[in-house]
Amino acid sequence: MNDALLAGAVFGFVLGVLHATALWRAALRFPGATPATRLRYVAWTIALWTLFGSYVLWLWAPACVAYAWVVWRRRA
Amino acid sequence: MTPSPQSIAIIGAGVAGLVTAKTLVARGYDCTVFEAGTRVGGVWAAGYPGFGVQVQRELYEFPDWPLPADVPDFTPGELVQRHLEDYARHFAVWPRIVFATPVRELRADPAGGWLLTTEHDGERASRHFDFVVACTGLYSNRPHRPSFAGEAEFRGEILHLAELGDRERLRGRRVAIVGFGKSASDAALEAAAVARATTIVFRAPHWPVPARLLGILPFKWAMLNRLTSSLLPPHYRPSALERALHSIGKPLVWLWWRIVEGLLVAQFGLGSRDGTRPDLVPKQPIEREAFSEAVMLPRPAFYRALRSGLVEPLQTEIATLTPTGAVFANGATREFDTLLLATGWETDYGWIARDLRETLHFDDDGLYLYRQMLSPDVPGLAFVGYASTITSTLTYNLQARWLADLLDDRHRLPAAAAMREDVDAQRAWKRRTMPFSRGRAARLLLHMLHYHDSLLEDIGVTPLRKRGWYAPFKEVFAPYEPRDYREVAADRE
Repeated sequence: MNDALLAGAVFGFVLGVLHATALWRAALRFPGATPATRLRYVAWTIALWTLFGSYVLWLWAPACVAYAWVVWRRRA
Repeated sequence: MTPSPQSIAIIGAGVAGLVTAKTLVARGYDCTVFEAGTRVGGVWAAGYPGFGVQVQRELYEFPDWPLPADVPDFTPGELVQRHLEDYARHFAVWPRIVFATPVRELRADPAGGWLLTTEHDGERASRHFDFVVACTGLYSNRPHRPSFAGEAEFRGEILHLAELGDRERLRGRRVAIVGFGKSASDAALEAAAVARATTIVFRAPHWPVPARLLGILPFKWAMLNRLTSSLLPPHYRPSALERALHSIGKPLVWLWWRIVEGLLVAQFGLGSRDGTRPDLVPKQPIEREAFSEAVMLPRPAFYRALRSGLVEPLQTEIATLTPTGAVFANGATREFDTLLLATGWETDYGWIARDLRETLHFDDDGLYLYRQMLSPDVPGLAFVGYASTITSTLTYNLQARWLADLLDDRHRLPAAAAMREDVDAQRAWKRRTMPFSRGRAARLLLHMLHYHDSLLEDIGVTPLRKRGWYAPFKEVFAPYEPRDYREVAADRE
């Protein structure tokens, strides 16, 4: 259980960093986005992804199976 | 485009016309608003019995002119109408409105600008304007009346909802209602209150959206945030995250919508496992039907009325009318005295000169425009209000602000070729992801956040509207509402 949670958190952290990078670059386009604002967005993004990473990962896995089954049935 | 035009004609004094006039008048433009009717409000001035706003009050108010505190949720149409009249007076739009003056023709003036022909008291007059803003909305006030075989033999009354006036007209009658949208559901409840029998006839059921999901979570929290927006079939300009979500993350997105469907089936009792109740589960996946204009927020009593039999649901279509009722395509027959059509309204841009309509290129599914407002081939003419969203009061405000900034030369349009490319991409996307309707070109609905973001980015305002330490969290999970754009609408940002 702990390993699963840890794996999910690591997975979420990686996605969070990627998402935060995209947000940082997007925020550069917006007027009024101070460095402090951008940092806050980056911190929140990484934190949320890390927090919810386990849910995303462990819902995604069974969702893949269910989705593949539905697609296979539709084609059959 | 015509920077800083001297004279501007605004066609229509509905919500879109009023916010456009307010915004342009505040910038010092000489505006004249032509209204065909004798009241402001457009559709709100000509409502049917029991009509009202489909969403919570805070979603249907002007960003810079909130509804009074005592106005209830799902605001009744009469209160919206009064609010619009107050708005027109407060922002000095009223004196600019020429009532009972329909526009009969818009054509290019050979000397530049436009010639607008209007009619008042049976007399026609033409005036020159530098710039024209069409604010007549998606549909005209001409009812859409499908024709039926056997119509001439039918001895009862065929009414469009727009002609009903008072529900007392249905007292003691047997009523059949055609349609399954919000207006049909309203009509069914109104009829059921006074009629001897009420039947609702529809081709296919649509997903109902509850005011509160499972009776707990307000609809706006489930549908109007950036998270849900990113789970929809992707926008034609998707972010990197959306691209990832709809490729590697697709099973997760699929699972999400199936869970939502399951919750709605349970909440509204749509299923018919034992065959004792009508099966009202729609066949289209909800994420696709989210772009059908038929998705509705019914009054809670509507599905109760269907389940209890107070309103009889009949999923079929009329094969032929008989002198006393109808034979339906599934072989069923019913007798009724009144056939009530809740079939919407026609589109009508007949007032635009034929050559101009050809240049604008109206398709069967509507008029595709750059930013839902401009044709790359017709400078000097804009459409505000030709966008179907959940929070139209907000959308029209942002459109008006975008247009005012353009006229003030505060932002520039891309080259015509780039605009055409954007319009083509938008057209292809809508045709790929949204079911056909006569208003598909105007449809944005749950994708409105993408649209609002692009308008704000164009005018150099940040689309991230949430404030405070928790702003990033709210950006993802909290619903976007008109009040988030107050500073933009009020021209303070």
